[in-house]
Formats: sequence, structure tokens, C-alpha cells
Amino acid sequence: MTAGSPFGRALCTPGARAGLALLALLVLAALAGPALLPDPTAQPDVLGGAGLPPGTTHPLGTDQLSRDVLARLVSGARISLTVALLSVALAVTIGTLVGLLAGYAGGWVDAVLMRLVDAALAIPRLFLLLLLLAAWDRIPLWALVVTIGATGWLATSRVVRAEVRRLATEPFVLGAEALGAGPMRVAFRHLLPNALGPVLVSATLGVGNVILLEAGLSFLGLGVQPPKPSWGGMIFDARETMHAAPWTMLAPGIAIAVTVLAVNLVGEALRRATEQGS
Amino acid sequence: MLSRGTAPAADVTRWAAGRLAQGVLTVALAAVLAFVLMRLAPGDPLAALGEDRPLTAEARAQLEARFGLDRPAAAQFAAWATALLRGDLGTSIATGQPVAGLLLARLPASLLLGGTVLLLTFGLGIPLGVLQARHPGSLVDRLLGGLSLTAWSVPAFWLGLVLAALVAVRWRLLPAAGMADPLLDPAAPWAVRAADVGRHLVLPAVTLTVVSIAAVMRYQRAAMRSALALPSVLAARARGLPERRVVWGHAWRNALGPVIALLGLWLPLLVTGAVFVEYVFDWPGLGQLAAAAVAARDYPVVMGVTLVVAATTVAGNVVADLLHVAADPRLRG
Repeated sequence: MTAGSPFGRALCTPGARAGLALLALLVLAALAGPALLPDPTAQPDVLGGAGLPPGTTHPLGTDQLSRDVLARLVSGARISLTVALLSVALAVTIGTLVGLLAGYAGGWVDAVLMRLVDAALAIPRLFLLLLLLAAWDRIPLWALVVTIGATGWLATSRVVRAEVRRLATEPFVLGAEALGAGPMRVAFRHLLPNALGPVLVSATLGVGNVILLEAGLSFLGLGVQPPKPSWGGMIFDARETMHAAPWTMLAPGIAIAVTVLAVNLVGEALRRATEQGS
Repeated sequence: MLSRGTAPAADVTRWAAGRLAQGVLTVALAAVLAFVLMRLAPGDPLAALGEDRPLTAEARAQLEARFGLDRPAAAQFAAWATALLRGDLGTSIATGQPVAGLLLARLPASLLLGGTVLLLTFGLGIPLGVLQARHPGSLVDRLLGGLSLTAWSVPAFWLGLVLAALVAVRWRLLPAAGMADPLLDPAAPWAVRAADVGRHLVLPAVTLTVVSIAAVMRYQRAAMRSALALPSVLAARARGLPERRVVWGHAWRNALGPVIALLGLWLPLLVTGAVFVEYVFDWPGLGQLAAAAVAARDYPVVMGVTLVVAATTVAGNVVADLLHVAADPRLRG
């Protein structure tokens, strides 16, 4: 992706730059932070060190079990970003393949797949997640990634299908077919690369969505399992302590909002580029 | 969609009938999907019944026979579907109450919260989006865009908790939970009870509106910008019409489509609300009922809620299409 492409230009707007800078900072903190900060699960002094306000030893204070809030925040960032990126990658892969198949095969394959997608879209995603996640007593991280990914591909498949159907009658695709290119070659060499723009946009906006979703699930106890730190779990713990120690509530909420905002700023810029460009 | 030449009324009827058939098929497929997923996921709907005192094998067999759980899954689905055609949604395993009654008891709270939120998001989002579109790139436009995108990025349940802590607990201005004051005399005058419900409604409705208004503003802003660039708007301005009439009378009509589509997509909000916000404010809506039923594997209740939500989703899409046609005469052919 060069600076001359529509996406490259889109990422040079002030909003997108701010988003990218914030994301870079977050990723850096998530990568390097845990090595520099105390153990996020350690409870050094439950009686005397709980609910300490922000200060020099604990920049964001401590929670009700005397754990360092900043350390938990940074470890939570690592988990939250990992879950979001992996599950969106899974969702986009499934959605792209289904959309490609439906759009290019057409006929009854398209009809059956899209009716099923319509039906699945009529059930709220949260119901599907609650149903699936109840299968585990203690939900492992990989299961969280797989269930979020497996319930998140429906919209992407519609986007890719629409894009493929539009492209399928373009001269370069008809030309490739006339030259004897097989369906697999047409689908993956000619259609897919040209349908990736909208996919990238929906993937970026999907990451922000999934961060909010994972925080909500962890808040309900159906996401990342304690004592592993997660932003949603921190908010759940802070319900009891927020009046005496507001930082325990403010820190994870602001962390989620800033992360999602950064992702959305980039996603918005990319969306504008696909709508104007091409 | 609608072909030219034939009588428009017959065309619309045929089109609506087609949409209706497709919608019924979608809802039926959604029910099958929910049923299959529910049975694939492990869990025991009778576990909660024997929580304090393990069920004897005999009692379990009796309960299984009563709820039909001992029959093959396909037979259970067939029984559920035939009962549904008679208008019978079955009986809740956890409470023993009819599912239809449970749903109806929760519906008013959901409709009230969802309706208020739709009214607020669209009632405020549309004029704000139009304002942004009229001055693109201005300070107001950028400020509104930035604020709404920030609000969109805030987790609703966190905002709800913070608002409840400040407004309800610290300042004691509004109640923090539930839909009515339990100490209020049920014989109190109608207006007093309505005001009480209204006070309980403020915080959940504001929370949901703040986190969702950005979408309406963005859709309206984009659609209005294209509409303001149309030649018809230029012509209206050239005729010397007042700017107010140009914007709302001429341009806005052409900018309604995307906003109406969004309204259709959001119609399910009327019945599901947002599970998280209902949970935080203990709002007695369908979302909470659904979450509890899924957790307890109360199969008939899960199926009942899924059916209602799927039907609303499909209806929302159809309504959006119809309104779209009504707002844009070009689609009528």
C-alpha cells in the first residue's frame, strides 16, 4: 500500500493519524508494559494496600485487592487486543470465503447461503454468544476467540458477495474467463484482490466492535476469566469500589473508549477512502 | 424491483407478498437455527430445578416426559412448531409459566425503553446530522463528529454504571434501578405512577442514546451532503427560496433513504433493548429475560424470545423497504 493509493492517502488525515498514533502507543504498552510493571495478579498487601489513590508507586492506584491498576490495565490491553485481532481475522476469513462462494457461484448456492445468513442475522449476536459460551465452565481464551469469530462473519459475507457480483461482469473478469482461467483462479486472483477494500473497512470497524463486545462478555463473567485481568472484568470488580476509589472504574472504561475510538478513527478514514475512491 | 408499465397498486401488492413470504421463511430458518444451536450446546435445563436437592431419577424422568425432553430432537422441534401454529409457545421449564405470558409481561418495558431511545436518537440525530452537512468541515461539524464518535466508542454498561453512581447515588436526583418505585402505593393516581416510571426511564434511555446517536448523525450527514449537491437544490436556491425550505423541503426528502434503512435495522431495539443496559439498570425487559433463559437452558423461553426478535428484525427490514419506496417516488416506477 503506497502513499499514492486511496488507502494510503486516507491514513494521512489528522483523524487517522491520531488513531494510528494511539494504536501504536497501545500496542507498545501492551508489548513492553508487563515487563516493566508489577505482576497484575499479585496482591501485595490486601489489608493496608487496597484502594490506594494514584501516586508514585502506583500511577493509577490499586484496586480492592491491592493489585496495581496500571499493571492490570496494560495486561488487559494485551488480552483485549489479541482476542479482538484474532477473532476479527477469523470472522473476515470465513466471511470472505462464504461471500466469494455465494457471489461467484450464484444460483442456488447463493440463494441457500444468503437465506441462511439472513436467518442468522435475525438472531441477536449476543444470544448466539451466550448459547455457545455456556458450553465451558471456565472459558479458555481460544474458545472466546473462536466463538466471537464464528458469530461475526455474517455482515462481511454480505459485503463481499455484493462486491463480487458487481465485479463478476467487469471486462477484466470476463476477459480472464474467456482466456480459460478456472473458477478458483478467477475467484482468488481476480475477484478477491479487487473486493478487499470494503473487507478492510468492515474488518477495522469490526475490531472496535469486538473490543466492546469482549468487554461486555467479560463484565458478565462470560469472557476472559479472572484472575486473568481484562477491562470488562475490572469494570465488574469496580462496581463495589467505585465510590471510595473512582480510579478503579475510570481507568478501564477510559482505556476501552480510547482504544475503540482509535480503531474507529482509522476505520472511518478507510471507509471514506473506499466511498470516494475507485 | 418494481417493473414499469403495469398498474402500480398490483405491483406493490405482488412485491409486498414476495417480501412477506421471504420474511416468513427467514424467521422459520432462524427458529431452526436457534433450536439446532441450543441442542448442540451442552447444558441441562433441569439442573436449576434440582439445585438445592438433587432430582431423583424418577422425578427427572417425569419432568423430561412432561417437557418432551425424552423424545428425539426432531420430534421436539416438530411438536414445538405445530403448537406454535395453534398460537401456543409452550411452558417455561424454569418457572412452569406459559412462555407467551412471560413475553407479554416483559414487552411493555422493552417497548417503552426501545421506543424512547429510537425517538431520542432519530429526533436528535437527524437535525444534528443535517446541521453538520450544511457546514461541512466547519468547527461545529468537526466538534459534533468528534464528540459523537467518542460517545460511540464508550461501552454502554460502563457509561450506565458511571451515570448511576453520579446521578442516582451521589446526587440522588434519579432512581438507579428498576422501572418503578416498590414503595409507591399501587393505588396512586395514574399521573403519579407514570411520572415515577418516567424518572426510572431517564438514565437507561440517556445511556443508550448517547452511545448510539453517532450512527444516525453519520448516516444523515452523508446523505444530506449528497442531497445538497443535487441540481434540484441549486435550482431551488436559484429560484430564491428561503434556505430553510431548500434544506428541509427539497434536500432532506432526498436524504431520507439511508436514515430510514437505519431505522429499519434498529427496530429490533424495541424488543431486545440492550441486554447490558437492562442488566446494569435492572430494567425488566425482554433482554434480561432472554439472557437468564439462555443461561438456564430454558429452551421454550429461548425459542419464544428468538421468534419475537427474529420477526421484529425481518419486519424492520420490510418496513424500511416500504418507507424507502414511499419516500422516493422514483422507486415506484
